[in-house]
Amino acid sequence: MNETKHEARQALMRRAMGALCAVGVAGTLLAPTAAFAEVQTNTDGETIITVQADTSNIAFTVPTTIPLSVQADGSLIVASEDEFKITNESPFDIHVTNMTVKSEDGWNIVASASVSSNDNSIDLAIGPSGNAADASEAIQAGGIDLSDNAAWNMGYTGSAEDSINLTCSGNVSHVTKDLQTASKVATITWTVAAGQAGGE
Amino acid sequence: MMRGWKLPAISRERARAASKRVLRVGSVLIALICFGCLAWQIAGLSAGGAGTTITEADGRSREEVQAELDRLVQENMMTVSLAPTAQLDDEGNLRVNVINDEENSFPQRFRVIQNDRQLYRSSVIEPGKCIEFCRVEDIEVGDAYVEIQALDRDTNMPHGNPTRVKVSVVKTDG
Repeated sequence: MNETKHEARQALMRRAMGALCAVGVAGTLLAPTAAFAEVQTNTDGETIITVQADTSNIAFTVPTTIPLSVQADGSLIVASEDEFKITNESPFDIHVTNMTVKSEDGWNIVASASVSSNDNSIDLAIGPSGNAADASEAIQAGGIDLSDNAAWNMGYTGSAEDSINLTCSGNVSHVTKDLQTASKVATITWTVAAGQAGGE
Repeated sequence: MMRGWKLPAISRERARAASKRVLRVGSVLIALICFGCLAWQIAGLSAGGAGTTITEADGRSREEVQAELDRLVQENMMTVSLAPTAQLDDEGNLRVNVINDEENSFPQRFRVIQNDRQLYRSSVIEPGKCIEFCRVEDIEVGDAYVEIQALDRDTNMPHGNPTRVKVSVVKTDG
């Protein structure tokens, strides 16, 4: 009799444990999974999240550095057009609307270095072949307005014209700086907008 | 040898004053050296391969120089990504959705500019991160600019040329 009661209690406990395990498993399956994206909010009210891509964004790749090398005759060697380019990564057209230039480190950005009498003179033109923008104009207030120049258009990503290859040419004269180490000549800022030239 | 000999009081004062002067001069010299080192480092950082820079070809062949310039351009490419239409709510929260692509080599920082005035400057955005909203005071509906600046990985100082994107600020219903 006692053994029967004992066995009955054990059986009851086994059934109870089984039920508890079943509830535990079901609870785990039904529990909401933790969000994959990490979200932080800082004291500036910025919400910083980890993301992969957003196809509604305007996106493009752009060179942040324009390295130049000067030859003995004062002419410049620049990066090749295959490397020096802006590429559209957006699903819609974009174009460059403006270029501004700010001279740095005492360089004088002029229309023609060969006729300038200033020390450390440089003339520079940057842009698509046949439509290079003159840096000496771009140092004026407001820069150079390129919003109506179709040569600065880029088609949607993956199209035949989603990049603009940039040429760069120029000369220096009356250089007093030691160019064995890199000297910063200018800060060049391009402005990019969605759409095509003249059709914003 | 004279034991217990002490300097006269006046000489002790002068000696102390001289010691203080030496300490002051020494401190100023050390400060100047430190400042000079810092200025040299900053100058080196700003001139070394960032922005539009120039060096001499130095007897190398055109092909060698070209390859080096191409490499520098490649290594300093940056992807810019943000919302071309920035939605503004009633509380001044602006949805800029500035994404620093995870393939980028550099942290980024951005500024919001309208009517030639800087209205906002962000914190640092590491590659793979995004600032979706920011609070911008005094911004109005209409054209504005978001300027993206790459930063040096170690110092978070500006690295290279910035890029601006023209955006349209629009009001949301909420």
